[in-house]
Amino acid sequence: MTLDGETVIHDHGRIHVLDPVATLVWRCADGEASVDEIAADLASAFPASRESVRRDVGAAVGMLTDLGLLVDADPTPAAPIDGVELLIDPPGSCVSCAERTWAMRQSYRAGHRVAVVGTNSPRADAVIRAALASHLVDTAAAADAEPPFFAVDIHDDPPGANPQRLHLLHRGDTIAARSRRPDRIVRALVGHLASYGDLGALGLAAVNGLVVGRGDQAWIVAQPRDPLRFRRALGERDVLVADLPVALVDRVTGEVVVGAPGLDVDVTAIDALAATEPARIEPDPLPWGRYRVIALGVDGPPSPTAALLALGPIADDHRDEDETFDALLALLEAVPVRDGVDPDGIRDLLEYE
Amino acid sequence: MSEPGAVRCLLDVAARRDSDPNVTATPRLDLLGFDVEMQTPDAELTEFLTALYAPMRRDGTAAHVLSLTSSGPIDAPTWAVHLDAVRVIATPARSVAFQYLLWEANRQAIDRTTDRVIVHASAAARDGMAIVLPGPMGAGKSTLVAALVRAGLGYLTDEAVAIDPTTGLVAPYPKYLSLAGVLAHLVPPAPGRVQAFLGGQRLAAPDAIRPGSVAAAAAPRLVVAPRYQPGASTTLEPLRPAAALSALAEHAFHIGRDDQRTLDVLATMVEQSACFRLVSSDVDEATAALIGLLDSHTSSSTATPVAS
Repeated sequence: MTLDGETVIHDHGRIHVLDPVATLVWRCADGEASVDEIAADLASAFPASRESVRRDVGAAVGMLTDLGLLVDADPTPAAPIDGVELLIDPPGSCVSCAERTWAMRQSYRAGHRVAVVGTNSPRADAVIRAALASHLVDTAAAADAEPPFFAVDIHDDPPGANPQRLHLLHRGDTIAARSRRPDRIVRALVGHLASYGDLGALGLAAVNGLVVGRGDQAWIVAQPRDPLRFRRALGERDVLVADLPVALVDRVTGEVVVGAPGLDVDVTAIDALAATEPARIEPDPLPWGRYRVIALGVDGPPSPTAALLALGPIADDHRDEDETFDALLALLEAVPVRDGVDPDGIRDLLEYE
Repeated sequence: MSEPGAVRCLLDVAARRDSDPNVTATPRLDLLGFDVEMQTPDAELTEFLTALYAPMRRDGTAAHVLSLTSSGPIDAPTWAVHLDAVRVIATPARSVAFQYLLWEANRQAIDRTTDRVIVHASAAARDGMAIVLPGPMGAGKSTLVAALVRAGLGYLTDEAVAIDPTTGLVAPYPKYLSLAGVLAHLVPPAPGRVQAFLGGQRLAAPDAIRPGSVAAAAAPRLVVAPRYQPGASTTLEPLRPAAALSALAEHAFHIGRDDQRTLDVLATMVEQSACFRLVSSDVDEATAALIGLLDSHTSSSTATPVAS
């Protein structure tokens, strides 16, 4: 758009104003003409020496190149990630992630999506690389420029130095998992990553709840306010809690899948992380496998609306909202909604079903 | 299930099965075409929201529901915001949840608008002529537009200038004003329970600034890029057309969707407007300068015969 000889250009989200000389050069730059040819054309139209026009054109080409509006005839393009969606949080939604520097960043592919995982722990970085070796991808600069989609906050204190210390998995500006066992955090990471894979092709849908179970039965409950206390209270009642902060529901059978479906995970690498801990300071997680869902749990008076609001999709989450709604509606038709905070209630139903 | 209103229907079905007597709703609101009602568990808060959005009230049933809910124990509830049944946020802080409720309403209004070009700017109008003030947060857009409205101009928006590409007119988006600093005293105190949701924000309905202040769609004739600079004396400098277009385009919300149409519409606006940069540290001086500009532009416009 040209106004009074100056041109305003929008390019990849940035606005540039070109002065009259740059405007002329921009119009003459057709991808074929050289700087000398453009200078010769312009010199014939302006009462100035050829040298001074050549100098002005050269400066304008330099400026346009610096702005990224013109590229060298022999560019070295950044390696693209073809056909893959890079998972990025909308601006402003990942304040806590963005404010921290994650020294080690790797990209992992799940289905057609790639997520950057950041950590400051060499130990965690090595374990995640080993566990997800076949999903590690070389990324373009674009992936490295974004805040990590997941951040693994594992502390590398000597074993036993501080058994109370919490390890965390960040997903955007929320803490997706917290535990005193680092293996649980990595397990939560791989499960969470799997939930961004091609779930539809696996016949699964993601429901935003936690799976708790015993035997072959499970509840899907809303994220508890205090996950550690909740896990301990259930553990005391022989009910185990999955590490994955999302429930993956089989659209055909209605079962819930705990694990990392669609990913090739070296679980022994994760277990090795658990073995370095001095003592089992938390109950084991619910083993990976399939479970029959017998109830949905919400925090507060149980009702279908409460379940829909608590377990339904999250805005800007890169997942298919319709798939989640369909899976939830099917579950609401099939199983009751209960108070999901009461550990005794959960145990009793799991016992007597 | 993705057609408009379908999720609302889903929620209605669920709600009928377990209707909550504590939930109250605002009337249907038309936010730049985003057809929504807001629901909260607090009647006083709903009343406050109804007053804030009064100029955008419509009859009938809205297609979407933005809800603020609390769950869990009374002494430490979790507050959540949902658009229909899609969760926007869940947090223990009610003021954070309330901020998200307002932010999501505004975001949806702007995101869903495809037929108009929208610029992050405030605007006021007089005699069918609009003055548009584009700028980033902190430039003084809200304060200046509030001061102009106090001085008798009509209120168009303090957030999103929506330009109809066909007519070139700025449509009113008269959302509440968020005021801080020298004009915060204009905001009437919120009722007791509402204060806890506001978390220090000072929000005023347009009527609280001056009753009956909302203007009809107006033709942009002045573009002024304001900058608040502490200690600076008030200066108005003409802005080159390309610089004015750049200032507007930098604050256009959806330029990536169709940059050519956006630049065309904004260039037309620049060509039909006088464009300036305003630097000031004094809202009264800045307001006087803007009104002076409007006066001179009005008289020069009326003195110039329209070619037929």
